[in-house]
Amino acid sequence: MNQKLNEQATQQATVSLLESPLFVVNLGLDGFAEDLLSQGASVVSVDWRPPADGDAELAELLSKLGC
Amino acid sequence: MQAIEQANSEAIDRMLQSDPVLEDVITAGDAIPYLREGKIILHAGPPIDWQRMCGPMQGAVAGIAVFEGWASDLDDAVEQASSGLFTFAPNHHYSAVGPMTGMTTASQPLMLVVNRSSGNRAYCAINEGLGKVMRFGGNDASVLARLAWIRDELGPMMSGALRLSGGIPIKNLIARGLGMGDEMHQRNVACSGLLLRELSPWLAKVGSSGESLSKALAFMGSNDQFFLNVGMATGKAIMDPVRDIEHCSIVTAMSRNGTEFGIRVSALGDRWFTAPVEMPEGLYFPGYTEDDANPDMGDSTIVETIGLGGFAMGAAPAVAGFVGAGAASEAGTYTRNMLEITYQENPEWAIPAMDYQGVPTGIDIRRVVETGLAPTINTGIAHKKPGVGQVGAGIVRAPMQCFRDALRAFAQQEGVL
Repeated sequence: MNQKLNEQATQQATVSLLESPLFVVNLGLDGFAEDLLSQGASVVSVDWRPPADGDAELAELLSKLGC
Repeated sequence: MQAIEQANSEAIDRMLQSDPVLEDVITAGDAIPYLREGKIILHAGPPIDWQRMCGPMQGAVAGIAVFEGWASDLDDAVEQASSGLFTFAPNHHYSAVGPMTGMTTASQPLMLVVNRSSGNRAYCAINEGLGKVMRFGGNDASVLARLAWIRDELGPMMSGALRLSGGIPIKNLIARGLGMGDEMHQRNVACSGLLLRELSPWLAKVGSSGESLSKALAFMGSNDQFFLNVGMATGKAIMDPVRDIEHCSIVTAMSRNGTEFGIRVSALGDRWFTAPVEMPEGLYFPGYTEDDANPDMGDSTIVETIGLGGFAMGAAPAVAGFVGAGAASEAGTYTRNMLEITYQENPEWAIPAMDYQGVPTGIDIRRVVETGLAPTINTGIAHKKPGVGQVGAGIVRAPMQCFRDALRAFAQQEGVL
C-alpha cells in the first residue's frame, strides 16, 4: 500500500516539475547540458568528474586515506 | 586519517612560518664542498646519466666543462662525458636548485638564501639573462664570457652588497610583487626591480669603479627575469624543512631534467617519483616553432611548489598572454583550479586582482589524484638542439603518473595497501 502511494507521489512531482520552466544543474557529460540548452532550458554545468578519473583501485585508496 | 591531517597542517605551518632572507653570494665549492671532490656537475631534475640527457642538457654540460677548465673545447667535453669522466647529481640533493639545465659546478657563484626560522640554507646560481644562455643549453664563447664576468665581478660585488645590507628578506618582496603583476616564474619584472632598489645603495658602496658598478646595474636592470633565481632559492629554503614529516602527503619538490619529471613527497623522504616530461604548449619567438622545442626542463617548478608561478597566474594577467594561456581574464581560473589540489591559501601572499585571495599552498598528492587536476606550470622553452638557447615560453602540466605512483607508495606506507 505504502509503495503504491510513493509511486503516485513521485509521478505527481514529476508532472508538476515539467509544468514549470526548468532550471537544470548538470553533473556529468556536457552533452546532457547541450541537449537541454538546444531546447531552451536554463542549464548550469558543474565541472565534475569521478574521483581518480574513475580508477577504482585509486579511488578506494583515496577513501582509505581520508578523501 | 587524523594523522595525515595533523601532519599536513604541520607542513603548512612550517611553510607559512618560514623566513627566507637573501644573505650572500658564495662560491659553489665553498657552499657545497662535495663539488671540489672531482669533475662533479649538479643538474636540474631527478637523477639522470649522460646517455639519457636531452640536447640542451648535454650542451650545457659541455659548456660548463669548458668553463671549469676540465675540457679544452666542446668536443673534448662531449668525449669526456661520453666516457664517464664526469659525475652527475641533482641540485636538489645538495640544498640547491637551478633553472632549466641547472648547471652547478665548483667555481660558480651561488646566491644564498637562509630560512631564518629553521636555519636551513638554499642555493641558486645568478640569472644570466634571456636568449642564448647556459641554462637553455647555450655554450658558445659569449655564454662562457658572461659566466666568467658573473663569477669574477658581479658575484663578488653582490656578495659585498648583501653582507653590508644584513640580508634582504624575500617574503615581503614577493608579496609586493604579486600586487604588481608578477607570478615569479615567467614574470619577475616587479620583483627584479624591487630587488635592484634594495641592492643598489649597497652595490654603490662596494663597486670598485663607476664603470663596474654601471655594468652590474645595467645587467640586473635589463634582465626582467633576474629575480627568478632568487625566488627559486627561496622556494628551496621554504620546502626543505617540510621534508620527512611522518604521514604528510604534501609535495616537497617538483623538478624536471628535460627527460623526466620528478616529485618528492614529505612522508616518503628523498625518493623521486618520475614520469616522462611533457611538451609545453606556448608561444614561440620569431623564427621558431614547436618543432624546435625541447620538452619541459628545470628546477624552477620549486616556485609552483610554494604556490607561485602557474599557481599564481591570477596575479599576472600579462603572463597569460605571454605563455599562451588565453585571455587575461582567464588567468584567475588557473589559480582557482590549483586551490582544488592544495591545502589552503597563503594569507601572506594575496592576489589583489582576485579580491586578495591567497596563493594556493601545499600540494596534496591525494587531491591531485582525486581531482585529476595536475599542477599547472609556467615555463620557458629551450631549443631541442645543444647550444641554441631559449625559443619561447608556455604552460605545461606535471605528469599525473608521478602522483599516482606516489599515492600508491604513500598508501603502502600508511598501511592501507
